[in-house]
Amino acid sequence: MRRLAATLLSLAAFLAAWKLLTVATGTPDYILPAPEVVAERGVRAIGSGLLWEHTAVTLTEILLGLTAGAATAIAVGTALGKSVVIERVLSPYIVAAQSVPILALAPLLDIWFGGGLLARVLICGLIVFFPIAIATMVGIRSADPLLVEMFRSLGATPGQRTARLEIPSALPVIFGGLRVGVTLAVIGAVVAEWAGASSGLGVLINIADQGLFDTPLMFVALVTLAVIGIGLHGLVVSIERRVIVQS
Amino acid sequence: MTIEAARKRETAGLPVGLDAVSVQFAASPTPLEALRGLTLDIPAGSLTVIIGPNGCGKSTLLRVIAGLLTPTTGAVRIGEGTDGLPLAGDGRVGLAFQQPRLLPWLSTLDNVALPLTLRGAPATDARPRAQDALDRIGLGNAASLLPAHLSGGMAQRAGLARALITDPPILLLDEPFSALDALTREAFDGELQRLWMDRPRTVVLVTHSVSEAVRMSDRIVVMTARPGSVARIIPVDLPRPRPATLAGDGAAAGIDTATRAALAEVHPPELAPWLDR
Amino acid sequence: MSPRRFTAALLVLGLLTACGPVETPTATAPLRSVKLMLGFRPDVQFAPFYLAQQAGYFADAGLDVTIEFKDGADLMRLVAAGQPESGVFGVADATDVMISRTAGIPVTYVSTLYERFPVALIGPSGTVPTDPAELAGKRIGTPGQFGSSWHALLALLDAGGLSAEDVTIRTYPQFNQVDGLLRGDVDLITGFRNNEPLRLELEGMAVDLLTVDEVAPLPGPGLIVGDDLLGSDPGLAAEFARAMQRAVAAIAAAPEIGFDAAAEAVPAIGEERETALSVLEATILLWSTNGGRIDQTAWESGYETMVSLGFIDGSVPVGEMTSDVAAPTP
Repeated sequence: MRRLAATLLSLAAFLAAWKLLTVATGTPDYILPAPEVVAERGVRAIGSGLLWEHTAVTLTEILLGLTAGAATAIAVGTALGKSVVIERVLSPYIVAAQSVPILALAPLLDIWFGGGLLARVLICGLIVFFPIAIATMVGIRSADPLLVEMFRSLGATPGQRTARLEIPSALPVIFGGLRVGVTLAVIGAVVAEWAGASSGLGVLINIADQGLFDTPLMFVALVTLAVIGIGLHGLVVSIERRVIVQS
Repeated sequence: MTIEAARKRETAGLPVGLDAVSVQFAASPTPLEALRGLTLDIPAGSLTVIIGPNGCGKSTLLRVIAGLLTPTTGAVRIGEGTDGLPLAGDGRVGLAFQQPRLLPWLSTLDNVALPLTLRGAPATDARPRAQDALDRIGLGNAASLLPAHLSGGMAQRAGLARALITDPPILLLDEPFSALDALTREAFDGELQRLWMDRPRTVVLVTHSVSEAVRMSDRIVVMTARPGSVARIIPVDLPRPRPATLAGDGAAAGIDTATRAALAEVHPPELAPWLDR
Repeated sequence: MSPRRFTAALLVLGLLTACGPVETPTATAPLRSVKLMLGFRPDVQFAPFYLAQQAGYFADAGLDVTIEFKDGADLMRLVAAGQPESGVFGVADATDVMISRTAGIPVTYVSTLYERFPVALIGPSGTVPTDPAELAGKRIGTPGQFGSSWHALLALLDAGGLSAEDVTIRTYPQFNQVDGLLRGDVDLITGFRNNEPLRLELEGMAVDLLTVDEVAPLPGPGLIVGDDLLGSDPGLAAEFARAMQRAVAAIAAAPEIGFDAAAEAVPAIGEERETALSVLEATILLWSTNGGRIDQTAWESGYETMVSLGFIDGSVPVGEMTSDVAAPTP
C-alpha cells in the first residue's frame, strides 16, 4: 500500500513539473503539450479504438520479439559462457552486429524478410539479444568455483553442471539482462515499425507527428509506450522475485 | 557386541593406500609440485588426522583420494582389489569442505539430498533419506530453510550431512570446523567422534590445530613442507571417547609436544614464530 | 613653391588618396537575417532560393537568408514558433498547411510556388487507368500515411468512389517506392511529377501518370510564414515572396542559370548535370506563372476534398489559411 502511495505521489510530482514547464516557458501545445491536453487526447483515442488498434500490434511484436530474442540469447550466452573457443569465434560478429545502428539495418532486414510481422519480430529480437546474451555469458561464468568443485566431487555430468549449477547461479545476472532487454524490446518494436509497418505505436507516432500534425496524439503514443515498458519491467521484476530464491 | 553390530563395524570403512604419489600442476614459469613421493597406508575404519605447514599439499592429498585429481606418478588404492581407483561421485568417498558449499537456491533438505538426486534418485526417494540424515545430525527442523538462513555452524553441519548421505566407507574432511569459533568447534569434534564411533568408516581429517589432532585421531600424519610427503606418523593411543579438553592428561600432553616438535622440524624457518594458532 | 610646402602638399594629397573613395553618408542599411526551412534535402528544385541568394534578389529585398533542411512536421512547428525578431519562413504543402492550421499550428500560406499539384500516380506505360474507379484492387506504393502524396492518393481514390480499403497499400518510409515499382512489388506508386518519372525512365521504364488536376484539384506547395511574424511585419513576408518569384521567373526564362546557382550551392548537384537539368525543366512546368498569386478556387475545392476525406474537420475556415499580403501587384 505504501509502495502504491509512493508511486502515485511521484507520478503527481512528475505531472506537476511537466505542467509547470509548459506554463513557465510558454511553449505552445504543438511543441510541448501540457499533461491535461495529452490526457484529453488520450481519452479520445481510447474511445475511438484508435489507441488499442495500434497498441495491440506493437504489444504482439514486443512479446514475440522478447520471447524469441531472450530464448536465443540465453542459449547462445550459455554456449559463450561455457566455451572460450566459441566466445572467441562468435564475439566479433555479435559485437559488430550490436555496434551497427539498428536504425540503419532495420529497413534492410524488413525487405529481406518480407516486410511483415516476422521481419519486425526479428528486428525486435535482434535489439534484445545482446544484453541478455552477455548477461547470460557472464552469469554462467560467475558460478562459484567452490561449488563447481563440490559438484565434481559428487560426480556430476557436464549437463548436470550446466542445468543445476551454472544456470541457477546465473539467474540473478540473467534477470538483470532481461530488465534491460524488456525496455529495449519496446524501442526495438518501434524501430522495426519505422522500417515499413503500416500500424503500431511507432507508426502512430509518425502519423500523428508528420501526417496529422497532432502533437498531443504523438505524446499519447509515447506515453503508451512508456507504460508498456514500465509494465513489462515490473513483470520481469515480479517473476524474478519468485524465481530467484535468494533475493 | 552382537554379530550384526560387529559386522557393521567391519564393513563401515575401506582402507586407503597411497604409493609414492606425486602431483604436479602445470603452471608458469615452472610447474608446481604439490606432492612428491607420498606413501601412506590408512587402515579401514581408522580416524587419521593430517597436519602440516601451509602449502604442504594436505588439500591436494584429500583431492587425490576423492578422485578429483589424478596423481602425476604413483598409485592410489581404495579398498582391496582391482577396482580400487578412486572415482568421484561413486558414493564411496564423502567429502566435506572448509566452507559449507551449499547451493544457495535449494533448501537445506534438497542440498543434503543432492548426491542422491545427481545420481538419478527421484525426490520421493531422496528427500526422506535427507531428512533422516538431518535428523541424525540434529538439523531436523532446518530442512526447509535456505542456506542463507542457517548459522555458520548449521550450514557446516548440513555439508557434513550431505557428505554422509550415501553412507560412504571413506569420509574426507578438509578443515571442516576451522571457520567456526573454538567452542563450537570442540562440540562438533565431539559430535563427529560420536558419529564415527557409532559407524566406524575410514575418516581422514585435515587440520591446522594440534589440539584437534590429538583430540580426534588414531594417528597423526605430519607432512613436510612443499612438495609434500609424509614426515612423521605419531600414533595416538588415548582411550575413547575423548573429552573436549585433554588438559591435565599427561599422555595427551606428550603427544601434543611430539606433534609440535615434528611440525617445527618441517616448518620453513621464517614461519616458526607462528607455529600454533 | 618652396620644397617644404611642396612636400606638405604631396603628403596631404597622399593621405587623401590613401583614404580611398569617400562614401556617401547614406550607407546601405544592414540586411535582415531570416531563415528559410525547406523539406527533405538539398535539391535542384530549390534553385530559385539558391539563385535569389547568389544573384542578390534577397539582398535587394533587404534580406540575408540562411537555408536549413528540416523534417515535415518540424518545419511547420519551427515556422510557426519563429520569433518575430528572427524571422522564419518555410516551403510546405498546401494540404499540410490545412491540417496544421486545423491542429492549431499558426502558419499562413502567403505565396504559391507550385501552381500545379506536384504529386501523381505513376505506373508503367499502358497500365495506368485514366478513370480513378479502375484503381480498385491495385497494389500501390507510397511513403506513408502522411504528406501530400497520401492526400493525393486518397483524393484520387475518393474521386473514383473508392477508399484505401479497396486497394493494397505498401509503405516505403525510406521514400524508395521507385524500387518497389521496378521490382514489381507494386502496380503503381505515388511520386513527384518532376522526379520519379525521370528516375524510372533512366532505369528504362516508360511511364504514364494519373494526376489530380482534372479529377480532384488540390493546391500545391508554397511559401509559409508564422502568424506572429505575419502580423508584426507583413512587409517582410511580401518582400521575401517577391524575391522568390523574381528568381522563379528568371529560371523559367533561362533554366541554365537556375542549374548553375544550385550547383554552386550544392556541388553534388553539379555532378549530375543532365539529370539535374531535366528535373529542373520538369519542375519549371509546375511553378507559378503569375507571381505566386494564390488560387482561391483551388484552395476552396481542395479544402472541401480534405474535409470529406476526414483529414480536417472544417473548424478552421479556409480563408484563415492563406493571406494575400504578398500578392503581386496587378
